[in-house]
Amino acid sequence: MTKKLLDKTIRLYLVFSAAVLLFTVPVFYGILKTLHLEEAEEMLMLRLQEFREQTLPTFHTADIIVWNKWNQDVKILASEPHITLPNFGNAEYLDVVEKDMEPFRTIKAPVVIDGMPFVYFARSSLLQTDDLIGSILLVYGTAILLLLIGLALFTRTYSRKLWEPFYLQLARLESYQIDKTGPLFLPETNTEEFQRLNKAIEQLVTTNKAIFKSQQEFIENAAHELQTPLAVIQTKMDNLIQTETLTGTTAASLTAIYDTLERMKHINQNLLLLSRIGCNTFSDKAQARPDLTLSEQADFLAEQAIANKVDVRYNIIEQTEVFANPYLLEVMIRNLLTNAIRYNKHGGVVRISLGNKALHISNTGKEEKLDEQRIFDRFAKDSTSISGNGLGLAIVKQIVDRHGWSIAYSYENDKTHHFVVHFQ
Amino acid sequence: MKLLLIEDEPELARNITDYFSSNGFRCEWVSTLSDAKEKIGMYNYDCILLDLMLPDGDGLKALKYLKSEQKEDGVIIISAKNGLENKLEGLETGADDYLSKPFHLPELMARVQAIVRRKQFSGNNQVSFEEITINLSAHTVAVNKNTLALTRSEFNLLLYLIGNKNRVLSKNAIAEHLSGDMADLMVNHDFVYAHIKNLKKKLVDAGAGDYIKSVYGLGYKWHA
Repeated sequence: MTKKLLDKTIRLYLVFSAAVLLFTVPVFYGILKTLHLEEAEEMLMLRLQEFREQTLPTFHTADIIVWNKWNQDVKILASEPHITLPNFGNAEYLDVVEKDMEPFRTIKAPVVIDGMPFVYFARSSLLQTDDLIGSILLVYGTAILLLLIGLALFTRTYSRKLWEPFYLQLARLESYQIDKTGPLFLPETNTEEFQRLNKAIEQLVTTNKAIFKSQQEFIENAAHELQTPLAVIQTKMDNLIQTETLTGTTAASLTAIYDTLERMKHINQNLLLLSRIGCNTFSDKAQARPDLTLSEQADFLAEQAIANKVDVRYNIIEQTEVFANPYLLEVMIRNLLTNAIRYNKHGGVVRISLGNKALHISNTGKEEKLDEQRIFDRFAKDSTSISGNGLGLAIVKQIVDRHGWSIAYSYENDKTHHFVVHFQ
Repeated sequence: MKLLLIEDEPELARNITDYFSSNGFRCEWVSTLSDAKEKIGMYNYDCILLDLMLPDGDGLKALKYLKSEQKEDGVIIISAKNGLENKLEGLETGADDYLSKPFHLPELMARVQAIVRRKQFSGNNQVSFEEITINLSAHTVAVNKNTLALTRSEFNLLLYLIGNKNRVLSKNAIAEHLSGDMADLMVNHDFVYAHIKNLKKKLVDAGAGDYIKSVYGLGYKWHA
């Protein structure tokens, strides 16, 4: 699956930030928690030291009851033999005000009062520190989140601006057709990489245009140069058949040569036409009427159809106007129609209909779907057909493309080949 | 009939000269623009066949020269350039017709005859052969004064055959003549046979001689 460049950048950025956040928050929490625990212990130790140094020298066993009565957090408890050193612990006590259990850090240390062993006990509430950690984490989280969102938005906007020339280049390239004239206008940019890209594209296009042009010229020149030799052969033949001593066998050979010559002429003419369309020779367009073109071709078509024993049926022919080069429109319609007759079978049918800005031509013929991928290629004709030069549909496709129309081929269930040109 | 052929391909020139000479034309051939101008300046021709790409320049210059000399010779451009713009340019410069290479000799003959007719008998445009009379302006054909009902193709075919009488015309040449611009798209030549058969029958039925002969399936000939 492909994603947009900007989305990709931001996605990566967000994933990274989320990972950092997820990782740092617990670590941060842990560090804070440890720090605060140490702080509480330090304070408990300090109090113990204070007690030992300032209170203990004048403290007597009789004071214990009073002390314990008035002191919430520091108490003197009965001796516990295993406590020989100050020793920390956690405990929960009921908070009288809040009426719930609260966490405390506690310290127990052995003390000697009036020569008797006792246990010094002190506690420090952890609730305040917990609240503090919570608040700090909240502020931290919010700050990071805001930073993230801000950076994402900023990156998005900035990246979009940064990549703008690239997107323009892309759009220009996508709509550019090498065989249509006109230079490729690439956006001005002050980013070095895009400038380089512009230069590279322009060079590529210029080279390709030159190659394309010389190729077209070559085809046209080659076809042109062939016209004169063809004329020599044909006129030679026209004289040759005047020979009085012509026999049946030579006449048959001459017929074969004539027919072959005719095929060569047609290939040559079609090549010329293709290269001319490629060179944009037929660029003037006007309102044209395919329905009239159809009726102009009707006589010729009927003649060809009868000779090939094919029935041509006109279904609905609506008056239609298209914006086209009239000559090319005529060539396109003629090619499609003669193909429908040529590749038909004896006793077959050609159906033509025009309406709704579309021309439908269907014909019976070979009972097999044609290769959709290749039928519009040059010289892609079916090897089994003898007539035809394999350029007719290539010409049709060129004409369709030139006008921004579309053509589709389908093989229908009723064993007909169906071509439809959409004039839109 | 006097014909000037301006063509730099000698073999093609020879073929054209051969065909037209045996049909009673007097042909002169030059292969350069300068020779062409010299001939045009000195003589009058019934028709000039002009190639455009000559070794020493554009054939259209010969045509312009002809027009500047106020000459009325008919001109047919025969060129390998077959673009519409070339045709238009040629006709606008003053050529009477434009035939792209490669062409069939009978076709060139028919075009030359049409121009000669137009130049010589302006108005009364008729072609006759024995009992057959073809009226070109009214597009009618009569056999011994009886008008025949011919289709457009049959009419063109008759004129083509008579114009190339005693010459064998290949089916290809006839098919191309009848289909005109559409010749590239001919599916097959069988329609020629149908037209020949119909024309032959109509002529014979109207009392004309049976002049159309088939030549070994290769083509047809108007046998005078």
